Amino acid sequence: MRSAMTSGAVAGRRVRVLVAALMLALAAAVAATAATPRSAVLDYQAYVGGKGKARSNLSPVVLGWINGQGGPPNFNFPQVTDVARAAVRMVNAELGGVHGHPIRLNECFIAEAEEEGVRCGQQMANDRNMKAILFGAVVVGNQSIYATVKGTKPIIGGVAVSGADPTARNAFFLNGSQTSVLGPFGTYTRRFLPNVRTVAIVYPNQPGADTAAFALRRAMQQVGKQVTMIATPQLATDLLGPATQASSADMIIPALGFTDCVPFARALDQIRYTKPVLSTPLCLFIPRAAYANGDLPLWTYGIAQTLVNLSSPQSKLYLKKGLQYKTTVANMLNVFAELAWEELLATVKVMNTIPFSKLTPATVSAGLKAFKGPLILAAPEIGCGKVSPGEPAVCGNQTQFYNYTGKGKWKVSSGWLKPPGR
Amino acid sequence: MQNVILFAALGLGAGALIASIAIGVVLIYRGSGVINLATGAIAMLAAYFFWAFKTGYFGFHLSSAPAFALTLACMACFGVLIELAIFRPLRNTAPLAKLAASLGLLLVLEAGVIVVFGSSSKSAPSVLSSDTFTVFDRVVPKDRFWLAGIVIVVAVVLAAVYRWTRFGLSTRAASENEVSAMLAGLSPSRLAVVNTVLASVVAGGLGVLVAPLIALDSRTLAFQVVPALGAALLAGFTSFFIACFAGLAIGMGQSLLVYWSTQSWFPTDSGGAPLRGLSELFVFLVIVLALFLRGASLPGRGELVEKRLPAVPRPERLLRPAVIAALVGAICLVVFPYDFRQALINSLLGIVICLSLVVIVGFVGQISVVQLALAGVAGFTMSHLTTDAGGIWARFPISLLIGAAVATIVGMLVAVSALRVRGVSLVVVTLAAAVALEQFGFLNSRWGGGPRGSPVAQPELGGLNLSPDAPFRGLDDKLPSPVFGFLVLAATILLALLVANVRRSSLGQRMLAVRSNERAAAAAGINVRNTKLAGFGIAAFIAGMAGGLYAYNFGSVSAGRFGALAALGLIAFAYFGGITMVAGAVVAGVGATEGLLPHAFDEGLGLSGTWALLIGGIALIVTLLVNPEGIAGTAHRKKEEKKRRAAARAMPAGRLATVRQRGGATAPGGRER
Repeated sequence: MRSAMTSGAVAGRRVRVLVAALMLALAAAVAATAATPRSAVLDYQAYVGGKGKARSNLSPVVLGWINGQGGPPNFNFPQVTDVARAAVRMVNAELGGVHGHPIRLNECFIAEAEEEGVRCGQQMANDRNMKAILFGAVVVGNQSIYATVKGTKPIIGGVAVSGADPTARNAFFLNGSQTSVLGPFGTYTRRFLPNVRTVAIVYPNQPGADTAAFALRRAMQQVGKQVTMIATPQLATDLLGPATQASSADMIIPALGFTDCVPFARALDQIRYTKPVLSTPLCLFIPRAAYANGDLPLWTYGIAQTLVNLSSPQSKLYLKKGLQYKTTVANMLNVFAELAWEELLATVKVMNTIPFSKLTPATVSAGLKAFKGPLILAAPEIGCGKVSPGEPAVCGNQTQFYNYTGKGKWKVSSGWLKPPGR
Repeated sequence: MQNVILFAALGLGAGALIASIAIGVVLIYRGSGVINLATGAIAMLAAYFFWAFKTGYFGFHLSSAPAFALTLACMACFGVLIELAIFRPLRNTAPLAKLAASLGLLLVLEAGVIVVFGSSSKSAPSVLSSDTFTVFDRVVPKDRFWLAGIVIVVAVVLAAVYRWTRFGLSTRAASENEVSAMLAGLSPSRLAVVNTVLASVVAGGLGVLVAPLIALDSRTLAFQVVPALGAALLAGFTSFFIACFAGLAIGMGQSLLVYWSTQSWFPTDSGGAPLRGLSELFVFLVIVLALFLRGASLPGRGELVEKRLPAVPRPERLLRPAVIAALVGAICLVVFPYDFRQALINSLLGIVICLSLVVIVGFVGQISVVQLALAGVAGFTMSHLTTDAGGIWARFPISLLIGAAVATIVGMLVAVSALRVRGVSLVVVTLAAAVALEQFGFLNSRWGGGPRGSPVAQPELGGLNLSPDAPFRGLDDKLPSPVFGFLVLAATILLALLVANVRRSSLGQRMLAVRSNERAAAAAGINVRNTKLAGFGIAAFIAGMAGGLYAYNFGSVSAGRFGALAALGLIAFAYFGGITMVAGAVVAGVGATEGLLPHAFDEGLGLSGTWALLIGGIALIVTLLVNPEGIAGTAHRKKEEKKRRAAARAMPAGRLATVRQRGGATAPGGRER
């Protein structure tokens, strides 16, 4: 076993290598067509409507923070909490907190048990000063949280990942749900891949995961594509069979769980598959080092946020501020971390529009319902409860597409797209 | 037909993975008599070592051959370590103690690799060539065929070694009768060490080869032990050939199922997705059929006698401890801060589900892993009563009782399929049943949980809110309400009294007779089948009650809470507490997920997540080594010994000798069988 000193040295070296790699990626991506949309948020003070240091003598505004961390691989996102804390430090240091009151997080973490969802729900419901609850990456215990909080406080998340999320009471998933943000895959295929006639969607046969797959099927059928659905069993390991079966189609959409992406990419590589692959963002959650050859597959990825790997001004600002407030580039590159940054600033923005004396969970909920965006590093416009039929907690339905060209290089493949017919 | 052959062949990779772990399971069982749940984790550990040696994680890089050799050497050392430190000290204990220890090892390995290597997945380096060839106009990688070939060769070599070498014959002799083997001059201990080392090296070596097919993390490879156990069971934990081919067949079957699931004739659920859990249901049915045909209603006369489970003391007093527990529990529920109040409720729920294990495992001696899944059956039934039936059917206590009744019926059905099976085979049958229930039942959107979650109506009786958000909130005026705690406390005490009374009743005596020796019990006129069915029925009812109370606690049910792996953890910790006593269930409940002990550790020491898993695993192993009867069992034995010594001191010498000659009502060591 390594000594603590060796471990520290190795970790330090890794951080330096990662920062250098990122800088290299940013420099190399200058040629990328990362046009700044008009609605891009480049001034955080103007965005949240506050500036200067929050007054420490004023009572803090408490926000709940629930995140999945401390558990097994793929359900462990400590980076997200680190970035959320950095965002809080930034808001209190230079964005004036909420009406001059500093904000404070009341944190609760879920490792992997449903019981922890109950505990977090109670911790949030029992804090009478808490105005709203923010979700980091919460994939376990969601039902128990909702059943405990019972809609008494607004819950603000990025993308709805659990089956219970889109219909949760008094919840606001700013970027969208599996159903809403996968609709644009159809729009993208129609516009940018006109030669594709048949599509194979590969997905794990689990409740929740199949919701995403069916949303993709609907989107593809809406634009006239013929779809083959290939469901993988839950305990499947080697995905050579599904990859071979899917390879008959003109395009493959892997709508797989975190760990399935790695064997699926390897299987496609082994059978020399060269036709287009349009992936959901889940395959980006796995670190590059986990894939064969240590790099992401060269696919097109649809994602309901802006990839920070690109040299867009929004990304630069995010990275600069994050480093200034003591988080790391490695943490900030986590896609859920980016969402946490966005959620926190959007929540502060909404709270600043409400007079402090009237700041209650109910008024925050009302503010969120009326909130039209834009989001930092995400869609220019949202509409909570209006963008996805049957999903009252969903606010967004837009997705951007990126081509991964290898060695950390990305190319913007489309602007923000909506589902077909919307 | 071409496609059937092609897709069956494409499943060889997954099949080789399962087969390699199944071979490891058989190897360890033949050598040490342990069903090692950590066999997949051992393969995972080897894959991590190989990755570390290849990538320079330990500060030095090695090429493939030396890295592979060094990995095998590390696994050999690891085999020696686990045999000497864990399995040898437990050699003469009940099979369940060994099973629990292997679960402890699984937890330690799972958490240990996260602590040492980090929680993110790694890319396992390939050892085999990535060349391809064409089959039926499809490009197919050669490495899957190489893998399957290597696994078959390993099975052949092992079968030859165990059939024709002196070492193999000695191992077979020692595994069938240790005493006779010792009389013949063999050393079962030494043979066990060699076998465990061999198993670690084989599982580790094959783990390195199959790891590139998956993302290398602390779970994926480790949890393949579940299908591998099915293959090992079909092999009777003895045949390498059958284990190997059953493993390959499971992988090929999974691949074929994926292919068939795209065909129009394949059954779908209400959402249009292919019906889930068919492969798990198929494996369960194959196992049941195989064991039913091979098993017998009674064990054979010459059959090896199972090591006994710990003693089952007869509860002397019931009313006083029940009243004290009710008073102390009620006071704690009111005065505890909200987080410890919830932890107490979690512990009470843990006690109830462990009581179910006390009946079926402790009293009847049937090692059933399906109890948590039966709790899930009750929970999902209640959810369907809420969402589909509504009205009076969704109300407390009708929905709770219906849920428990359905769990009882399903439990009896499992019991019927397991009547001719006992001992370690029953573990695997009930594990397969638990997996089938989870995959085919709970995850099905038609009769399991829907994609939007499965809410459960909160308990209310005559206008009195009994739910966690009832108006009375304890001294700190916070959630959860002590009223819900009172409900859970009352149910726990009533069910504990039921279990204690079963032990004192004639049914309890019959259960103990069956546990002790089925042939002798049958000869004494006891209906073994009916006694077993009664045990399964009572245990299933208690599990159903636990499931209902869990559902009220969460406000909903989810499949993950009642999964097969959680069930293995539950039975291990129930054994750790003392699986033959109500007091043991209480000890296990205190350590339940988010129960009083874990919460206190989290609050006091900040110990949760991976570190809690690591320390929990180590604590489980150490406690089993120190107290092979479980904490409550050892405490009871010491108490009885103390009483006996005190009585002996108080008694005149002549009378003491008379009592000793009679033997008394208590067996040596204060044990009552």
